Amino acid sequence: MDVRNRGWIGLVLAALLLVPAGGAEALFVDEESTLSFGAKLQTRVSFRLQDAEKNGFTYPKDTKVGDLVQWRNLALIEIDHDLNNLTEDLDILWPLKKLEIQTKYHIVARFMYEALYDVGSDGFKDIRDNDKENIDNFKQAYDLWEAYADFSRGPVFIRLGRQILAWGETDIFRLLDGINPLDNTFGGPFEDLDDRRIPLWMLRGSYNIGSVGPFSSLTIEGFWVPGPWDAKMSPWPPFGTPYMVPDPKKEVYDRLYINNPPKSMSSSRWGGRLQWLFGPDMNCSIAHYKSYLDLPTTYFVLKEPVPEGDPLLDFGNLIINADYPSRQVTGGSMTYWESMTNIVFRGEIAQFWDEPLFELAQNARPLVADYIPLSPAALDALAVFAGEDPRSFGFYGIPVSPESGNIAKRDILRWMIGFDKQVWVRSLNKSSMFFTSFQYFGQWIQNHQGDTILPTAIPDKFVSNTVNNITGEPVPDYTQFPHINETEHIFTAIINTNYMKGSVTPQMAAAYDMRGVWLLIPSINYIREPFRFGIQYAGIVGVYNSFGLFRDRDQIAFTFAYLLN
Amino acid sequence: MRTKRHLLACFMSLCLLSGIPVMASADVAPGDVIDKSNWEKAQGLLPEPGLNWVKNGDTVLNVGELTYDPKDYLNPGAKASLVTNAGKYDLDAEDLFIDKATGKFPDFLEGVPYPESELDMKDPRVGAKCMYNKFYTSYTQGNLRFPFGAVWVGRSGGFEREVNCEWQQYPMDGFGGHREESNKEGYERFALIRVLAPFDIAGTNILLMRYRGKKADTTLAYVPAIRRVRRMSPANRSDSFIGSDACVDDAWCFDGKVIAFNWKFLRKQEALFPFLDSKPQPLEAKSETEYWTGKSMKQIKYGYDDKDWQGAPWMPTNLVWVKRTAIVLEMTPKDPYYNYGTHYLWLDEDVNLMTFWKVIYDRADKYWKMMWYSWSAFQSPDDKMRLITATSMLAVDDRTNHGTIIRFPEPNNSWGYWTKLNKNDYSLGGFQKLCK
Repeated sequence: MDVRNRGWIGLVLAALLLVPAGGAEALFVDEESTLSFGAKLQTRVSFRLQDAEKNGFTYPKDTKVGDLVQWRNLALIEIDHDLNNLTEDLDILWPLKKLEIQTKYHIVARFMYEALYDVGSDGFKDIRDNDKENIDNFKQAYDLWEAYADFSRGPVFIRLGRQILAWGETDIFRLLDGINPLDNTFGGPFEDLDDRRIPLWMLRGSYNIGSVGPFSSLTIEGFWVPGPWDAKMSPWPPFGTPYMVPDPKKEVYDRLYINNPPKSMSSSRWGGRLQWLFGPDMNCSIAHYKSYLDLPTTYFVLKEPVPEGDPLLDFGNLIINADYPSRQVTGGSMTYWESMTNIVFRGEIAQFWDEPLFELAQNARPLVADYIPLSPAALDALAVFAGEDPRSFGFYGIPVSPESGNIAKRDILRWMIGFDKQVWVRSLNKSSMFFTSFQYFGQWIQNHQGDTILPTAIPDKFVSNTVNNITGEPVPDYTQFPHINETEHIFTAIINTNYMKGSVTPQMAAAYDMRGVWLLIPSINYIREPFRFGIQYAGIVGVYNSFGLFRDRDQIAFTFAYLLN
Repeated sequence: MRTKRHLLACFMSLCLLSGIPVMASADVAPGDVIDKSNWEKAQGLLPEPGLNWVKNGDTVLNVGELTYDPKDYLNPGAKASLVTNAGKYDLDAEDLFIDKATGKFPDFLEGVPYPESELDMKDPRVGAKCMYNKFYTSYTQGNLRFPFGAVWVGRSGGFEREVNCEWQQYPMDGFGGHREESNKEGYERFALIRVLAPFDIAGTNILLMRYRGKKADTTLAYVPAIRRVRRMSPANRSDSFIGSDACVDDAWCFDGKVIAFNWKFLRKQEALFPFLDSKPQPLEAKSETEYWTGKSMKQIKYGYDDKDWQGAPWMPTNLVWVKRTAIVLEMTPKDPYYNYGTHYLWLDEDVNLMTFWKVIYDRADKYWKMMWYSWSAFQSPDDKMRLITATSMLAVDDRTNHGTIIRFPEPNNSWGYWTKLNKNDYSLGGFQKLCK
């Protein structure tokens, strides 16, 4: 999409802006209020609040305090149409009337333009210049974002089309809510979860069974994303974009090959859920589904197999594959309101079967091959000659008989225990309560092998006591990774309230990973019809692990939105 | 002499707290226009804060009279039940229904439980009985679909923002048409609020399952921002409704559980109550059983829309104020964390559904805010159907000088009665099909 398409988007946006906003009334096209129209135009600019860490993995590497790292412009146009009245008038809809099927449809068109690569610092302009086609595709999009039709009759409900489906009870991090892929390319953990969800073409249905024994509202639900229709995976950010997954250097990125699943039936996502109320105070669900991780799992392979006993002389033969293996998840959730304390307790537990992981012994098998030792001088020369230092990969010589790696898979149990409580703090707010929410997330990798890592090298790590005597530079160590322990624990908290009759909403969100990482996201939003203003700070402090991988990307973001209705 | 003064001071304080008019009421007549120049005429006919609004020039009262008797405009089911239910029901010590014949909670209660003749003002439970009458009169109107708009209005800035919603009610008790529906969970009613605009919160849905008896409500909310149904605490009903001047329990002046409050009858008195118009408004039949308010009904005008209006911008300017006999109730929340202290409800003596004034004090017993509802009778052209319904709501926070208007049925915003709704929509799973 180029200038011509951008012009078209501009015309649409301009047309929307010219429509007068009559407060925030729903815009109905017809007298019967069955066809409504809505739109939102939003722009968000983010500035870095810290310099990139020395040898850190922020891009561009010289990003400084105050640098613009995001200027994301979004237009959403939404149409909702209830067809029940039309079934009375249109013969073609007669079967719906005859069968007493209630029908409606929902369409959301989405236009996105990231201006950073056109108006940002020279570093970002350079990134575009170096990878024009890729960045141009990345920075702008126009999609039929959601498009589905609902059919319901009595206890039966079917939704067919491009949609988002979220299960479970967790906030911020996902357990049972892993059906739709996430787009982490434009802000990752600094963005709202829902803004990152990618809709899928899906058939979803539910049947309200009603009351059975002590249970009421018993509902069975299922979904199916046929692989031939939609095998969309979470996108991978292009090299140099500010929210890309930390990676050691471009040379490593260049040998990365991302393999999306084929558009075939085997790539289908599917699942089922049963949910019910148990008395007035508890609701529960159990679910099983098949889906994919949001990030591909990487593993080292040899493009050309190295015969037994032969050395690996060409490091270009060593590539990194990134695949999206499927996984299945079985779990349940519950919510319970406890009247004495007036607390809503939430819980969720899920077993992730055969979840793909990165284990050094399996995924990095070529790197653990034996090698023929070389002298430091020879290694220096080899590094200059090959353009890569074998010591960076743990080889102090020439690898012999390396074998391709594969993806390790383990069963993982994850759980969340949380509670929500609204409290009056009248000294701070006399008219509205404070909403507080706390969650504890746990994870247990079964049959843990002790070499499970996040495949992103730790910055500032160098092969000890080693300097390339020809270039005079220290040798980066790509074999130092953040480890994932057998059990891991994360805590989250959200507190918010509203002032000035709901016009001002301050919120504090925080997460703490017990490995020693804090994520702090205070924000404040202001409403002045038909506009929305938001300021959000996002900061990460602590070790280089978990969400600490983004720790040198503290930022402040300003959001401005115009709502047509 | 000193003792007398103390007694007088105590009496005055009590009167102020309960909204009792402290001076003898003046009289008004149809055609009177009461404004700040002659506010004394309304003395004793309005709660004290309401009188202050007139005195300060915030509002002008156009006094009129009704061309009809609201009692005659109860819907046929409600009217009939006032005869058939005579002498059948009472309340137990916890303010729960009992069938006098069995001494037990009735399996199904059709219609309005307490005819006027059974509302003995000396009965300590008369307040609770009036409240049950209010709720059950609304249930006799079957499945309801009420689109409404909440409008935030500031004194200096006028219109601030608007949230459009739809309120649905599916009674499981009270309405004869649902007598045969399976209800082993003991639901009293389902209510659903769907937010339609603005864009950023459109799609938010709140489902209330209210149970008969002592069980606490089940409240589930679908929040589009997290795409999830969340259980909400039923004990937070005094929290502000999306930041407005009203809380969840303020719907229809009172929408909480009757047993969550202590009720006390204070007095009967003459009062000025707002009505949409002096005559009934049109009701249109959509099918043999379904009725909607007509498009030719009167449009309420508000101060913020009228550049010549000198009063508070949140005030309706063209209502008709009618002298009626009010029952004044004192209501005290049993929940020590409820955000309101004692508050006072003024409702119509003849039709308990019509709750007009609510005077709200904070937990320190200091006056905080007040709200009113206007009402009207509606009638189908063939006169087969009549009903009474609320036509607007106004909540004014006198501390922050701010008002919230709830726009009810209007010519371009019809309300539906005895509508066709799918009961499955009020289940855990069914409710989610209404969500994004």
